[in-house]
Amino acid sequence: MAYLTIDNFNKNFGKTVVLQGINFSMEKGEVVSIIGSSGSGKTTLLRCINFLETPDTGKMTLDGEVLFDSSIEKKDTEGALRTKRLNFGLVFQSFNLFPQYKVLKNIMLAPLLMLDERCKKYRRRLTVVALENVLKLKTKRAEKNADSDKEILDIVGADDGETVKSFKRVAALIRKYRSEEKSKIANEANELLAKIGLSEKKDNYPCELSGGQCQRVAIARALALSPKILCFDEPTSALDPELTSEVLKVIRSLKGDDRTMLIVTHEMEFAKNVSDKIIFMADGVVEEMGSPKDIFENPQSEKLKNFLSKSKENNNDESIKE
Amino acid sequence: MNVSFVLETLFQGFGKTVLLFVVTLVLALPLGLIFAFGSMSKFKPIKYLVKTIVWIIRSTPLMLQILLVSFVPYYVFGTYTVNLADALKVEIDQLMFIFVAIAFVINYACYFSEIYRGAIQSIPRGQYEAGKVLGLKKGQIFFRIVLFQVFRKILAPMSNEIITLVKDTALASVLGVVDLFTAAQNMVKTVISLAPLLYAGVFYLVFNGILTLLFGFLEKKMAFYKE
Ligand SMILES: Nc1ncnc2c1ncn2[C@@H]1O[C@H](COP(=O)(O)OP(=O)(O)O)[C@@H](O)[C@H]1O
Ligand SMILES: [Mg+2]
Repeated sequence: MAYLTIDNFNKNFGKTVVLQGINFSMEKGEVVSIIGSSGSGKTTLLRCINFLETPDTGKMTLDGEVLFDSSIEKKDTEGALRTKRLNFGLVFQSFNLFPQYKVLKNIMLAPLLMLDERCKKYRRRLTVVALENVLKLKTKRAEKNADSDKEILDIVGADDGETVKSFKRVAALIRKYRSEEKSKIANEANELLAKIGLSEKKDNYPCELSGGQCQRVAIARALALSPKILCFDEPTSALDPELTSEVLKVIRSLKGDDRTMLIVTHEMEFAKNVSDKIIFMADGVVEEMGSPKDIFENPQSEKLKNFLSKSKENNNDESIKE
Repeated sequence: MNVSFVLETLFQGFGKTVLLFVVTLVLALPLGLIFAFGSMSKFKPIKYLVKTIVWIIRSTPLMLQILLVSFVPYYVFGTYTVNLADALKVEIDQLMFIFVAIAFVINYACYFSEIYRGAIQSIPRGQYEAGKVLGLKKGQIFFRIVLFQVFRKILAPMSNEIITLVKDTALASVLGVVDLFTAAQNMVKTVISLAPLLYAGVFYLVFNGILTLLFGFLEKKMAFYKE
């Protein structure tokens, strides 16, 4: 079974039909590009995959796990939704960096907040244990919590035979775990910065960077959470032409790391070179799908032929301008 | 004219003015945020209720609102102010101060709520969505990403509003609360000179001068990034 399967996605906004029966699948490590004229539903599809919109009908499976299924009545809780979103990363056309944070903090913010949340949960549990101990409460809760207690001990690295009852020591372990994880997060963020070639900008604010640099930071920010699939929505459309190539270069380097990526793009040359598979969307349907060779050298449908000749014209126009 | 006597009386009034100013800020700033969320609520009845309240308060004079608050105990609950003061174990003039403060807090919360709402709604949707795809909780998105940007946006309109508040405190006199302005006015008759009023003006100037400096400082501190 494929890594990601999208099965019959349909989405309307009021009376506007935006997606009509989208089906496709991709394998782990694959790079899939989505092309198509504007208004064909590419953004909406990415937003549905990232749980920013809910498809009206359809089913999505990732790595054997059903992430979305409209035939199931029950709505996801906010927490479940967050966990599901973390399977994917999304790089926006407009970067959406957090302007008040420096570059490094932009990358580290989400992992740090998640670490904090986890440690807070551990400490809360510890407080309960401590209180039970002081008040000499022997509750059934202890058994119920045995698994999660063991998990806490495992994660913070307690010795064999230690229990949460030695809460002073466990509290110290949690503190140690937190500071270790923090420096791990910082190290990873610095590595990512080096990868996108912006190490020297780590203490700058986004407003001090060029558009291309902002987009590279946004890519690093998404990578910091190690998503299973990284999605891009026209990552270079908001950039001046001379800044496009630095962003595309970063994306291309990710292919070298066997990242699974789903890229909406208008850069035909890039799509041709980087993709394992190309999806051509028109009017909310997958009009044609195939290898870059199939799509670019042997297009079948009229719509695709039209689209390709138009984008070629645009390209020529641009080269004339330059 | 005994200058030290005049100054002492003015300082007493000034104490009341500052107290009213502080109480209004401390309570109206958070209440305004609650009103702002109310007026943006997805639940229509709440949204329109809050919007209507805000509209009414912003469309009527604060002086009228102060008087209305002081009528509430009698006309709504049939309690005389004297009895209410007894029941609450406060002096009459303290009770009057409380009435004034209630009116100020509600009035300013409404003005603040509009400032908050404008700022919150001007934060691009992309900021929330970036937070969402990074797996952040709603609260984290608001407190760690949006709030700071909102804070920067409200600084300038807030500083206007807060400087107006300093001057509005003079309205406390309608219930006989002896604030800075009332103290000065009363003294005009005693010392038969307009000097107390001029002195009071200087007090207001200095107070607002300090506030202006403070806001200027904050705005400068916040200018470290552009959108
Ligand atoms: N939130 C929305 N409300 C209403 N219509 C929308 C919304 N988002 C997208 N659409 C409509 O859906 C269609 C597809 O949009 P989109 O997915 O952005 O296409 P693309 O990314 O391929 O340009 C467009 O006609 C657009 O107007
Ligand atoms: Mg789009």
